[in-house]
Amino acid sequence: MQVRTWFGIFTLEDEVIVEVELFQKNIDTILNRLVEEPLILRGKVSGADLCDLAMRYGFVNSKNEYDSLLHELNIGLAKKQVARAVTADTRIIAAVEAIDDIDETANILAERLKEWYILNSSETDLKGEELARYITGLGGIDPEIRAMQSFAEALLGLYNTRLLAEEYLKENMPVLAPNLTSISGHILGARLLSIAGSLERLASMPSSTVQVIGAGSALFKHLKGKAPSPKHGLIFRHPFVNTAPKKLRGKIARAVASKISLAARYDYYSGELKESLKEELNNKVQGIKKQHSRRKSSG
Amino acid sequence: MSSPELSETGLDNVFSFIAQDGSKRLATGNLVPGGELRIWDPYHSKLAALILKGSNIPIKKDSLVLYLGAANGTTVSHVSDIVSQGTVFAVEFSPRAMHDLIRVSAPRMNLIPILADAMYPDSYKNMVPEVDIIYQDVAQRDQAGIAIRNSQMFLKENGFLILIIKAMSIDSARKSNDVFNSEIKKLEGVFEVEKIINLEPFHSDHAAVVARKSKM
Ligand SMILES: C[S@@+](CC[C@H](N)C(=O)[O-])C[C@H]1O[C@@H](n2cnc3c(N)ncnc32)[C@H](O)[C@@H]1O
Repeated sequence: MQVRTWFGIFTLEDEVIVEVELFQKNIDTILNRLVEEPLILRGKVSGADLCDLAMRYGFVNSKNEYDSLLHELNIGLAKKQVARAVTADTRIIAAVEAIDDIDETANILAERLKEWYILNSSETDLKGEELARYITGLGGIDPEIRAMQSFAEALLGLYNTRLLAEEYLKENMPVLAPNLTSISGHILGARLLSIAGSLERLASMPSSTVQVIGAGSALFKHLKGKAPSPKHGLIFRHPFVNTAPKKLRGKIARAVASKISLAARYDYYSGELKESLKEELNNKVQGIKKQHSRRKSSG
Repeated sequence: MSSPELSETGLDNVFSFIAQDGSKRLATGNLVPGGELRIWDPYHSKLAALILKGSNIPIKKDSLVLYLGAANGTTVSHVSDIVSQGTVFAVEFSPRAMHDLIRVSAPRMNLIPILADAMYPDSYKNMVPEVDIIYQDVAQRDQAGIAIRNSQMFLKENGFLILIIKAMSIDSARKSNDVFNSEIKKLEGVFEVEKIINLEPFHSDHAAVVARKSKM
């Protein structure tokens, strides 16, 4: 049997140590190993304390040295894990905020391009990406046209960047937040994270807050006591909410917000996909709609 | 300001003094020359509150302590003062809090920060040995379940659990009372509950449970 400790590998036969392979005494390499596999840091091997073994086989000279190396190792590991944990949601947030900036910029540029194009030609029904593509396909050596083409190419480049960023989200949101993604989709889920600031904060928000985050100035006014609570913020973009009949929107928004909030908590606390969440939300929304139509037909 | 007179508390490395407002306060640390004493605020630490409420907690200078829910390290740093010849294994699952806890741990050789979820003790069993004490303050559901799982994995026989649990204030709803009682019931399968101490006035709605791991 092999016992893999942080300073070396012990081979045991009938509980007796028959072979010892010491690692190099280098915290960084040990740390990298430790990230890969749960090497034993505390405890005993064949009845002997790990510290005593490390001294006996000459890995360290004193208990002090042993303790301080192990302390350094634990701190290094915690730092690594924190860095990894932090970057997972901050990266997602960076990507979705880039998408939002691109959308805003691309809209402005697309409008400018169209205005410019119309000056030289007649009206066109083409817009956005289509118009940009059309313009880049135009022949000509006229400096104005060439400038316009270059402008259109830049715009196409932005659309392409957006596609790549979205692909990144599509792949990584289910890893960071499988439940949130299953309830809200990767884009809306990432936007919620962006406004909350982190998965931890989204998970700790009451669902009444989740329902209104992203409501922008309406929420701000409400918080200052100058307006009634806005009914829904970002989650208005959820397909269940924005396709709902107006009368039911508030109710459905509340149901969606409460599931999103629950999903974020599952993601934060367990990280595993809970398949039933999505179905529960579907049923809940169906229920709200059914109740409404029943009331309508009986009323 | 003249320094107040310190008295022994009967606990290793914990001293008490009378503050200017006449109330009794705690400090932890080392009295040897060059040693440093740090004031331990019972309003910010439930363990300090527990001690001030007169409870003789079972932590000694050479104890091994598993601390669940270490947050940014306020209380943990004082436990690290107390166990001057022991070790505190401080488990916390919030990366943000761990960020601060790492800073607190860096100069303290006997304080080991562990980023992990206390619900899953398996995930840190390679890092924690058998311990004398488990201190748990995770402010979460299933407190008893977390305590039991960790005790089964790490607490030595006859070792102590100190569990901070959200309790009811006297007049609050019946329902929270039931939750509290059912948590205590669950503990009774694995522990002998020795005392339950209300942490008023320092922490409203909180109590500390001190329990001993029963022989199997
Ligand atoms: C009330 S605070 C603890 C305060 C700390 N004991 C003190 O006195 O300084 C609760 C802490 O437990 C952490 N926590 C909650 N559930 C946890 C779990 N399952 N595993 C690890 N830490 C958890 C929270 O992140 C929070 O930092």
